[in-house]
Amino acid sequence: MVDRKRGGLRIWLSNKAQPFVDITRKYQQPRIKMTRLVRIALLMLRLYLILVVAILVFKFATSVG
Amino acid sequence: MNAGDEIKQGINGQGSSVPTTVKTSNGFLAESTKKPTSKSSLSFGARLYYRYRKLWKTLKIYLIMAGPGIIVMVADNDAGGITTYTVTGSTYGYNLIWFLILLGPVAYFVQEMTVRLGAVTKRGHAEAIFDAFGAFWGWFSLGDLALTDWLTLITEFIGMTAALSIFGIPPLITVVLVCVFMMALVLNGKYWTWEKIVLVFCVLNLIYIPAAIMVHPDWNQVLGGVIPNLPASQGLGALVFLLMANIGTTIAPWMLFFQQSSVVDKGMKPKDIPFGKMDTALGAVLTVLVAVFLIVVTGTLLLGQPVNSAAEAAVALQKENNLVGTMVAIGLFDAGLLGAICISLASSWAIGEVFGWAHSLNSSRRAARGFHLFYFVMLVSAGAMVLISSQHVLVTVTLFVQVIAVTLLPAALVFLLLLLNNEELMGKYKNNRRQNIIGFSIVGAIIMLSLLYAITAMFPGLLGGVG
Repeated sequence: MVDRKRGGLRIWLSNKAQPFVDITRKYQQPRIKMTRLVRIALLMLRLYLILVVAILVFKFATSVG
Repeated sequence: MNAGDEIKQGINGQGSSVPTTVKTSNGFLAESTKKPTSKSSLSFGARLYYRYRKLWKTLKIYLIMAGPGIIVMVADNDAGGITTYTVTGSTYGYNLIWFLILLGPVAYFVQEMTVRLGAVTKRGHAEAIFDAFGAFWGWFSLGDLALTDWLTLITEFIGMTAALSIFGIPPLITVVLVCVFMMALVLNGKYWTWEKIVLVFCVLNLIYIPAAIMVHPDWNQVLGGVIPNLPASQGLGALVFLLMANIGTTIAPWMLFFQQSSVVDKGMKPKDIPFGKMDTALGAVLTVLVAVFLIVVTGTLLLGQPVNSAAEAAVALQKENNLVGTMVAIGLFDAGLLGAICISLASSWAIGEVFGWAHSLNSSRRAARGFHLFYFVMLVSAGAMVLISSQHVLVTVTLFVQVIAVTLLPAALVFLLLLLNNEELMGKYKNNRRQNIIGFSIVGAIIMLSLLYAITAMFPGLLGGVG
């Protein structure tokens, strides 16, 4: 009975997650031409986001502390 | 072909940029198609009449095209924006008017790019990011947008409930009425109806202009505020924080997503881009006017008084001039409602685009079930948060909105610029050198100031006593 419920839940979750999997697969490869400008811009964006997240984590850690 | 057909032709982009070729029943413009041979023989009066007709037709087509630009720009002055302007006016008087005037063209340059991108690609911003930059950046943008919009929606409800509380209306009634109205607006099944109703609320947003005239400011002093200056009476930290808050309220991530999706839903084509630009420019003028006149109101009556929110300012203004205070409260509610309408749609459109749901305001209820459900859940949950949360939680939400928006804004702007430089995608509508210089300068400045804003919001004492 419990196994059947677990199986049902797994199927339900897998059905719900399917659209996300499909979208990720559909857009797996970026279609924009990776020119130097694009590469640099995306690299800078990654660094910026890491910085913002680091600041957020620091703020959270110092607030809790 | 009657006038209605003519206008439809304009909407379809076939006649929008060449109104002189549209035939009319009176035969006038049919004659104008023989322009090369007949124009020189026309009398001055006939030429004048010809120009008048041409201008009138252009205006008629513009009125059909008008909407997304005006709505996004006026809604930009949402509840948070109104609070920022009241604080700016009560703290620095008219001294920062020049800065807001400067932000008008900045907002125009950013939003104008979304018009071109939407009209050319027929895709919303979220879908364009997924397609061009892949799933990682797509999910990041979509997730961040949904979260930022939901939190911003909460701040809009805070503004609306606070505004109507001044008139004795309980928050529960406000939230329920707003949710019912907004659902009805989207479920009516017509983009055009939705747009025209929202434009009425945009007109109501101009209530601050008569309010400013009624407080009888010294207009010479107001004009003095147009000249750039940096008042340091409250310390440099407070000044920088307020300048950045003004930038944050003028250019927000949801605006990019909203206008691009709106352009697509409206069915604008590349030929309609000049009208889209006009629409955005007019919207930029209106948004600056609203901001400046609100600063004139609070700068005249509340200068030097501690003001923390627009609702607080409205109550204080009622003591000075009851009618003006009431107008500011009505304006605050309207601003919150406009913001809520646009922000909730920006997310719903984006989610609909990516998940492949029917997501047009023209779609039937059955076809766009997922789109309507997401819109409804977002709306009701944000309204419920305002009703059940403590003051402390709501203050934290307001702070986090700024920080999370900062993480999305640079990403959305960078993606926008990269897409606008993609010749394969944009063809002859890609950015030229002048547009790139302006675009990259704006984006660079916004990224630096946004980061500084986020840091200052989290560490208020860093720049010297902001708080």
